[in-house]
Amino acid sequence: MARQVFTQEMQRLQDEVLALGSTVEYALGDAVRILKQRDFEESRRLMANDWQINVRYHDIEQGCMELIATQQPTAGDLRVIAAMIRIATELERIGDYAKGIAKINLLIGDEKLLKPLVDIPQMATKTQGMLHRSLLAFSRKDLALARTIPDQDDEIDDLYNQVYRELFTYMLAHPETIEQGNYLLWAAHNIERAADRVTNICERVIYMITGQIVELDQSSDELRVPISPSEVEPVDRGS
Amino acid sequence: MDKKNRWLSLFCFVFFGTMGLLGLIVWGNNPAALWWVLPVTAVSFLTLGWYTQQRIIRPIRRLAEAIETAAPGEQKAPILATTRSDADRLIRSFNQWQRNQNDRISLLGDERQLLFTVFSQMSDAVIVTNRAGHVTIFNTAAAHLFDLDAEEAVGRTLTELLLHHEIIDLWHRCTDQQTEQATIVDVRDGGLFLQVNIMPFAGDGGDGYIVIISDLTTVRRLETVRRDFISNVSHELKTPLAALSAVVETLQDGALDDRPIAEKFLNRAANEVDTMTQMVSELLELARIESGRVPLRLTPTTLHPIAHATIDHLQSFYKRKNLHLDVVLPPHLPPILADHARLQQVLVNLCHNAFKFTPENGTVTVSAEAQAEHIIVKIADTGIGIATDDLPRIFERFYKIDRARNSSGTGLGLAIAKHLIQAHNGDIWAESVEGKGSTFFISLPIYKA
Repeated sequence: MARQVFTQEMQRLQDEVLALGSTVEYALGDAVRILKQRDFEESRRLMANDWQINVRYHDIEQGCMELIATQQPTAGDLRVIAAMIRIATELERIGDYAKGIAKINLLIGDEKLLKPLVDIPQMATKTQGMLHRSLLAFSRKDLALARTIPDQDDEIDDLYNQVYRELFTYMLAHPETIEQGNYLLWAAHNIERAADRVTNICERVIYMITGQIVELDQSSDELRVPISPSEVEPVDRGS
Repeated sequence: MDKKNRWLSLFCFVFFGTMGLLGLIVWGNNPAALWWVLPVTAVSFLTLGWYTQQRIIRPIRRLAEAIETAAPGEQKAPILATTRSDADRLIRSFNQWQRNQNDRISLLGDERQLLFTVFSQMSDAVIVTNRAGHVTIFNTAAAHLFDLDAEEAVGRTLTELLLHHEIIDLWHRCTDQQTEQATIVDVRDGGLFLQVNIMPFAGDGGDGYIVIISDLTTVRRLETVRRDFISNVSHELKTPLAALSAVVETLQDGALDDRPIAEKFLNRAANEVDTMTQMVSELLELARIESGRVPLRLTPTTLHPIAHATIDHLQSFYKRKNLHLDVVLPPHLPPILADHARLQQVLVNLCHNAFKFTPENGTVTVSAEAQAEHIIVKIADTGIGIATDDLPRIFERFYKIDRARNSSGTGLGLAIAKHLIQAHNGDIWAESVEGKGSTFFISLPIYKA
């Protein structure tokens, strides 16, 4: 009987992680779409909805802790629970990045955008795709899928570098745009970080299935100041 | 069982029973009579026992065995009832009951199969879950819509399968309130519009939830096209009407008395009327082509005369704008089946657009090549190009990109061109890079005599 309760609760928590993931996936896409459309009302709404993400996250964390405390899960189940806590944490952080982008829309204010947003929405779409697939890998316990997703991070890094170079060149030529250029850089940076978080999720999925902790993010780059990326050695943040 | 048989049975029991008992009584009173009493008693009881075994015990045992081995719904040969005893009557009743039962099961099976067929053929996605949200039924449309395998989906949770927070939230709302819930969700960033209904159900087979999802993507797109059409047609008619009304008002206010000015205004009025007339007649023509009421005079021909006639027709236009026109036609092209005048109308329209949206000193290239089954005609320009977002919609009626809005034209040309080419069993499409130019393609099937 206790076993049945445990299985049900595990299933519920797993579904909660997926629901949180889907919420965050759409929040990220919405934040960038809203930035492109310059809709302040929607930005405020998205920022206000962030508490729902936090509530879901706390619910998952609480549920996982209760399971550990009351059900004495065995090795495999314990790994799943540990992975769920970590994945939920990463998802909550991606939610914060989305909120950050919504805030940037407000910070830019009524000013016209320097140029039509093309690469940033593309980065967001790609990141959403990665996140969606990482959730599939988690729910289906698909090891092969979890291993391939982080490869797409390179595409997002390339787009980020492109956005970075373009905005940097523009700001050098037109110093009056530095403020907005900086905000847009932040938005791009947030998406790039979100994609790195997806890589972490994939690492956790692999850990959940195999019990081995692997480092998939080879080009870890918390500090990214490349005008030409080849000149700068990637800085390993070691996590 | 008939009466005779019944009396025979009763007689046998009473006779052999009485004989046996009598034997015992005689033996009790006169032990010396044992030599003849013993065989008579033994024979009586043995006959009685044999009779009981044959008539009662064996049929009951066979019945018990049949019941024990019978699987539900399995068509089994009925047990043979060999005698007419009460026990065999039981067997016959059992056989009858089993036949009825099997009929009922096969009827239910047929109904189930019918329901299942209806279910699989439905265009709406139907998902049935138990109380905990585990899927018990997942129909073909659902599998198709969410790109999943219907059999693998059974047993997994709704959350896992659909992975969409708004649908998950709706399901939670339905489980909390136990009332039907509905919403429209936007999946894959506008790629899919879904109407989702979730309702609880309770039945003998258990409680659960039914999720019905209709794909509204096409409906939504058609609605947009219709809304735009109405707004565009009103706008296009209103503009010349406003100009006309201004002209008339000016004339009424006294301009009528000034002959030269009055004539100028009347000319303007005539122009506006012409514009409107052209638009209305193009609209009517489009409606006729769309409904297939324009008979095409299809004759085998080559592209050359049509292309040359087109270029002659437009000569004054591109020369005035100082544009370069390159015509690259291979000397030998396979024949096509075409209505000369209608195909020329399409080419004139495409070239005219190319000239219109290409700045001075630009180049327009008309070329053609034969492929396996088709001739591809290309009209390429070095003009302003078309944005990626607009590209799929340029063949819609009145669809004008903002920059084209100011230029002359009814906004119907490409829609007419598309329908005319389709009437030729051909295809028309465009590729474009904004700021670099556009290329329109026409593909027409090669005529095989």
